[in-house]
Amino acid sequence: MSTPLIQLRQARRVYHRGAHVVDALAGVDLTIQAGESWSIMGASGSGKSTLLNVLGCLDRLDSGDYCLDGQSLAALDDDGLSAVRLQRFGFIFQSFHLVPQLNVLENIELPLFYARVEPEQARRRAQDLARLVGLAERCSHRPSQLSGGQQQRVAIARALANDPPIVLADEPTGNLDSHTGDQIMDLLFDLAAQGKTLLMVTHNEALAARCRCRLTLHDGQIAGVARD
Amino acid sequence: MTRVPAVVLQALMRDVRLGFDCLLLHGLRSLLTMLGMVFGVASVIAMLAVGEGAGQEALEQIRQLGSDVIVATSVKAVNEEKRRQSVSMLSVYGITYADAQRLQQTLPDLKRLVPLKARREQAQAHGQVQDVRLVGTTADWFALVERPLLAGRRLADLDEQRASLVAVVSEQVARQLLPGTAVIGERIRIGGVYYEVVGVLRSQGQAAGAAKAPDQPDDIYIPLSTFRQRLGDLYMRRMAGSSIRERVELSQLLLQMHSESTVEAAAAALEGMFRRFHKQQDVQLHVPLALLRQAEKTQRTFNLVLGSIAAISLLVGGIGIMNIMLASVTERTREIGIRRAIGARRQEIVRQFLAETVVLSSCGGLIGLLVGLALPWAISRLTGLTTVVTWFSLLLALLISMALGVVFGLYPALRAARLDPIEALRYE
Ligand SMILES: Nc1ncnc2c1ncn2[C@@H]1O[C@H](COP(=O)(O)OP(=O)(O)O)[C@@H](O)[C@H]1O
Ligand SMILES: [Mg+2]
Repeated sequence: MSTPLIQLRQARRVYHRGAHVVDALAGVDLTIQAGESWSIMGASGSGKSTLLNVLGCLDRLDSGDYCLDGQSLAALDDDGLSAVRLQRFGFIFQSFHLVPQLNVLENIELPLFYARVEPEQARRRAQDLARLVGLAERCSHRPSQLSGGQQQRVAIARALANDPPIVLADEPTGNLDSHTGDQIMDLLFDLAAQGKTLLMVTHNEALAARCRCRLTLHDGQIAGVARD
Repeated sequence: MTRVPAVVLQALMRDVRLGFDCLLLHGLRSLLTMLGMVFGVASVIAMLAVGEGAGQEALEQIRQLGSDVIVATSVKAVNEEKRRQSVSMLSVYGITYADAQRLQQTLPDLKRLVPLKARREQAQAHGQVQDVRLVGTTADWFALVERPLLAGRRLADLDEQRASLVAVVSEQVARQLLPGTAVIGERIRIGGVYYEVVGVLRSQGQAAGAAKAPDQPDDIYIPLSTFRQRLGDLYMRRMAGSSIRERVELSQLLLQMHSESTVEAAAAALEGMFRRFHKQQDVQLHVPLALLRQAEKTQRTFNLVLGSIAAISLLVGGIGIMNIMLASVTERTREIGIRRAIGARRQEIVRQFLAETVVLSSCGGLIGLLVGLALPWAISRLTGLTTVVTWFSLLLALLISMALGVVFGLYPALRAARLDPIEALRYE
C-alpha cells in the first residue's frame, strides 16, 4: 500500500475559554488517500472547522501527529507552514474571504503572487481560471460588485491558482441559495473527478452522499466513517 | 534565479500600488496624517536654506574685506552735530594722524595700516565735469584692496614720498571724464591742481551690491601726502543759508592683522585707544570677522528654532502615521488573515504594510518639499536673510520622510504579521 496523503494520529486541539477547557479535537485518527473526496458532518461546535484548519496547516495540534505525504509537519516553523499552505492546499470558505480592494483577476493572482510566479504568466493563469469558473467577463470587477455565487467562484479559482493537490472547503455553500449552491458543488465535484483530493464540511446529506468517504464528528471525536 | 529580482520588484510595485489605493480611499484621513510630516520636512528644508544662506552672506562679506581686517571710520559725533546746527562754527572730529602713528607703533601683530582721506570733489578734464570721491591713500591700499588693474600702474611708495601729482582712477571715472582718450597720461583738474592719470582700476564697490565694500565706482586715488599738501584737512562748503566747515584728518583706517586670531583683541585695543584719546565718540569700528560671528549666531538661532520645529513635527508626524497604520491594520485584520491563509509569509505582510507606510510618509514628504520651497522664500521676504535651497537639502528631506515611514511603520507592520491567521479570518 502506498503512503497515505494525510495521516492524523491521536490529534488533539484544546481551546481554553476562561476556566473552561474545550477539546475541539479530542484524539482523532484519520487516514486519507490521494484523490479521495471526503465530506465532514457533525453538529455545530463538533470540531469540523478545527479539523479542516489543522489539516490545512492554519492551526497546530496540541498533541498527536500529522503527516502529509509521509512527512511529519511538527518540525515546520511558521514560514514552512505558509509554504505548505501556498503549494499544497486550496481553501474555500463559507464567507468567500476575498480581498475587497482587489479585483477578480488580482484576487485569483494572489497565491501566484506569493509563489513568485512571473507577472505575465500569473496574469495568463488567472485569466484561464476566471474562464474556468465562468467569470471571464468580470475580471476587473471588485468583490462588492459580484453576487455571492460569483464571489465563491472567484474563491474557487483562487484556491486552484497554484494547482494544489488538496482542496479544503468549509461549508462552501452555507451562504448561498440552493440553486447557486448546486452550481458551486458541481464545480467542486468536477475538481474531485479530475483527481484533486477534496475535503468538504457540509450539513447537506445529499451533497455528502456524492462524496466517496463520509466522516461524522461528535464533540471533537470521530463518530463514524463510511466509504462507498 | 535571474528571474527573482523582477518578481521581487513586481511584489514591491504591487505593495506600493496598494498603498496608493489605501491612501486615496481615505483621502482626508491620509492628508491629515501627513501634516506633521509636511511641516517637519518643510522645516528641515527651511533650516538648511537659512544655514546655507547665512554662510554665503558671511562669506561674501569676508570676500569683500577679508577676515583679518578692521575698518575704523571717522563719524561726526551726535553732540557735535547739534552744536554745528546752532552756531556756524568749525567742527573737528575723527581719526587723527597721531592715532595712525600710535597704532602703527603699538598695535601688536599688525600687518598693514592703510590711512585714508576721502572727500567729495569736482574733477574736470577736457571740459567735462564730474562729481567724484577723491581718496588720498598710500601704496598699501592697493595691496589690501586687491582690484584688477586695467591699465597703467598703481600708486607707489615713491609717489607718497615725493607728494607727486599723480592719480589712479576707477574705470567709471575714466569712461565718463576721459572718453575717447588714451586715459593714461591725461590730466585731471581737481581744486585748481592738475594730476596726471597713471592707472585705471576696476572697482567692485556697489557693483557687488555691498555697501560694505571699501571702494566706490567713482573713486580717484592720489597719494596721501599730496592730498594733505594740496587740499589740507579743512573742508568748507557753502550750502543754502549755512556753511559746512569741518576739520577731519583721516576719514578711514584699514588695519590688516597677521592672523585672524588677533583680530578681536586688536578691535578691543582700538576701541580702548579711541575712548582714551577722543573726547567724543567720533570713530566707528567695523569688523568683518565679527559680522561672520554674528551671521553664525543668527544661523545657530534659526537652526535651533527650525530644528526643534522639524524634530517635533517629524516625531508627531511619525506618531500620527503609526497611529493611522495601527488603525489600518485593525480595519484590515480579515484581509491579513486571508493573505496568511493563502500562504503569505509573515515577512510579506510586513513588507506590504511597510510599503504602505512609506508611500504615505513619502507623499507627506513631497508635499512638505513644496512647502519647504516656499518657506525660505517667505523668510527672505520677512527678515531680509539670504536663503539658499540646495538639492542636497531636498534629497535629505525626502530620505528623512521615507526613513520615518520605515521607522514608524515597523511596529504596525510587525503587529499585522503577528496576527493569528484563524483569529484574523474570524474578525468582523
Ligand atoms: N478560537 C477559539 N477559542 C475558543 N474556543 C474555540 C475557538 N475555536 C473553536 N472553539 C471551540 O472549539 C469547538 C469546535 O469548534 P469548531 O471547530 O469551529 O466547530 P464547528 O466548525 O464544527 O462548528 C467549539 O466548541 C468552539 O466553541
Ligand atoms: Mg465551522
